[in-house]
Amino acid sequence: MTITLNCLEEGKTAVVKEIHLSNYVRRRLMALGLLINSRLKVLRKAPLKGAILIGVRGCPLIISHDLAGKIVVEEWNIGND
Amino acid sequence: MIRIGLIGPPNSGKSTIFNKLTGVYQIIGNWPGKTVETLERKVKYKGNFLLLIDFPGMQTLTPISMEEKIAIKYIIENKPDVIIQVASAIDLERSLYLSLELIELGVPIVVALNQFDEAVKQGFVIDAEKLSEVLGVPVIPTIAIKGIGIDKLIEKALELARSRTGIAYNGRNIYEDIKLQINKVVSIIRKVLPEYYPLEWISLRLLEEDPWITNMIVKLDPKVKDILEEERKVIEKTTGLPPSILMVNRRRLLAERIVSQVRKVKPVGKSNFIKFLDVFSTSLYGYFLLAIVMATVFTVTFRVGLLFRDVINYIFLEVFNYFSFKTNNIFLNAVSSGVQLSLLVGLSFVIPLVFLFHFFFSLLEDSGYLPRAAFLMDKVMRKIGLNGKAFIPLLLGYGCSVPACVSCRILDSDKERFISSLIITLIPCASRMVIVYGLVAIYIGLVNALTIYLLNLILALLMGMIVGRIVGLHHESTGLLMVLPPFRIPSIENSLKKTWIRARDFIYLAIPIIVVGTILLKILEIEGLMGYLNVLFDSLFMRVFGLPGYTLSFLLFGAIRKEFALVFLMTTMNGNPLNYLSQNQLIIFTLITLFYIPCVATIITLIRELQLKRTLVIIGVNLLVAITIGFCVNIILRLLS
Repeated sequence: MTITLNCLEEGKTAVVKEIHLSNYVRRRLMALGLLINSRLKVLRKAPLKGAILIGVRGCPLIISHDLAGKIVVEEWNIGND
Repeated sequence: MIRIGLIGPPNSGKSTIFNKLTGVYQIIGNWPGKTVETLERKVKYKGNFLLLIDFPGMQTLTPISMEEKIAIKYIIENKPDVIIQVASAIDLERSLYLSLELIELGVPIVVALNQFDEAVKQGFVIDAEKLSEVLGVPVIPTIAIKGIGIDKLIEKALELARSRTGIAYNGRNIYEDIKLQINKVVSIIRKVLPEYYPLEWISLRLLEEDPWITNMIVKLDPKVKDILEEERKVIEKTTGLPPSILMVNRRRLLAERIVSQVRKVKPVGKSNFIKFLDVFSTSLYGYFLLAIVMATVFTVTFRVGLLFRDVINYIFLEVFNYFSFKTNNIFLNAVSSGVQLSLLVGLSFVIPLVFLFHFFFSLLEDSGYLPRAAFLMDKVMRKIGLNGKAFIPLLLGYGCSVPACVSCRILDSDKERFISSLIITLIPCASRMVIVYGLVAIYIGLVNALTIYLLNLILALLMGMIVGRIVGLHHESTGLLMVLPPFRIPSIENSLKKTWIRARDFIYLAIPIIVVGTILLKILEIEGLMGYLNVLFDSLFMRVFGLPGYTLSFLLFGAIRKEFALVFLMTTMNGNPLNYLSQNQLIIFTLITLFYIPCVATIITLIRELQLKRTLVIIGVNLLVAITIGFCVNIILRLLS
């Protein structure tokens, strides 16, 4: 089941499926390691729909709630592999 | 002269290497992107004349912000002889991504694998030799902060610059299957671009749909657009991915493949305190922590500042009593009392406070706390139409408006920079803190001073929101996207140096002006200037602000440097303002000085960063806020008493 990244709960892991953002922002996100099909973990969510701290490919990345809303992920559970 | 460019992601130690080479201390901070200008320095290094170019911090060659565009343009057009890429050994994947981009660009690079010791501490064992082999460019492990590896780095860079050998490794291998399409684009743009442009790199960018480069090329030859469209379709057909995704994907995966070849990871534990702080500072409690941290910085500065003031006052009076001389000449008396008073006020009020504040703030900046504040404040900043990243310049504004306005370049759009700069000019910098401290904290109370700070912040953000709405800021922001640097223990030495850089102007520049200005004012006072100003402005100032007309002269001085408003008020009132003004009048005067106009240095910076028109708007808003606040508070206080 796919959801947007901003809906993913703290501590959950997911796999990136689609990025619906402008060319620049998408390219930069991808350069930072947020590739299609790469796995990420929501480390922390700022309260009240604030920014989201994710760990992707071993590095912490801050991303705003809006941007996260444009990233479609599929929740990853053990056994999915 | 050999031209060496320094490029690298924020927080990789690039500024540190630049400083080691130039001996000039450029501000080091632990937040992404503080090198906001392209700095150039000529240095002599072991008999070689070098021109060092320090580029702003860049994670990738995908330019979102203005400063990144400037940097990329510079590299393409001015072609440095060699580029030193400062890579973070802690964050190897991302660093190598940039290396691969630079190799694609075709510039000769040397990779400084910096923070090597830190990486070892975190359990990363990196084989630099092997990395150099795989990448095809020299890789030198460095520990910039201790100066280790710098000599070797420069040696290699010079060697490369002189030999001018191409890059052995063909990073373009990953595009082998789309070579045909790339070459087609190259053959078209060759006709419109100068020979020295990196045509292949531009072709890649065009296929990737980079809007900035596409716009530039389409302007030169509108026909390119259709051809690109066609080639992109071909690529998508043969590879299954549109080129805008394909190329980043391949670059990134290649970077990761290289990392897996050259790096071994040994798991190590982090210190529990840092771990706790990391979680705590970004949780809901983080807001309390932010409030407490800011309140503590100000309270401690005020308290310790007071202590210093008493000590300095005491020593000063003893010394002056010893040297005191009496004369009947009224002008000589004015001069001697002017010198005494101005030195006393300058040394006891301003210096302890300014130095202390900058010191505490430097510690904060170095620790890596600011990006965490940005994380927490994203939501609030978005209400204004900015994003969390804009909170960093705002916080810096509490130190000095000038670097804060310059640091707005880390923001992505013109409007964001404009609104952030506006908010910064309304936020009390360290100079204005001196006024709040000198008039409110001392004569009315510490709590009142902190309240003024809080109300000021709310008002500044509100003004940002209103003006932001008017200029249509809400449609601009690209949203927060930032790498979180690790917490680290701030270095005292680093902070002391930074404090000196930021506050030394006061000693060299401000003190002489204060002494001369005070003497001048004292003489004019004898000549009846105050009476003259009173006649001219008393009725206006009294009616609107409830202030005597001569206070205008302090405001005029304050426009040069904000703390002058306090200094000249104190010297004119012989160090005891309560003899001349009521507590209410002190509050009103302080509030007006907080807002009324940016100082000269800030105005010059604003004109450079935002052009004249927007600067004038900012000045106008400042004046408007100051007059409104002064007027309203005057009425409210009068009604209350």
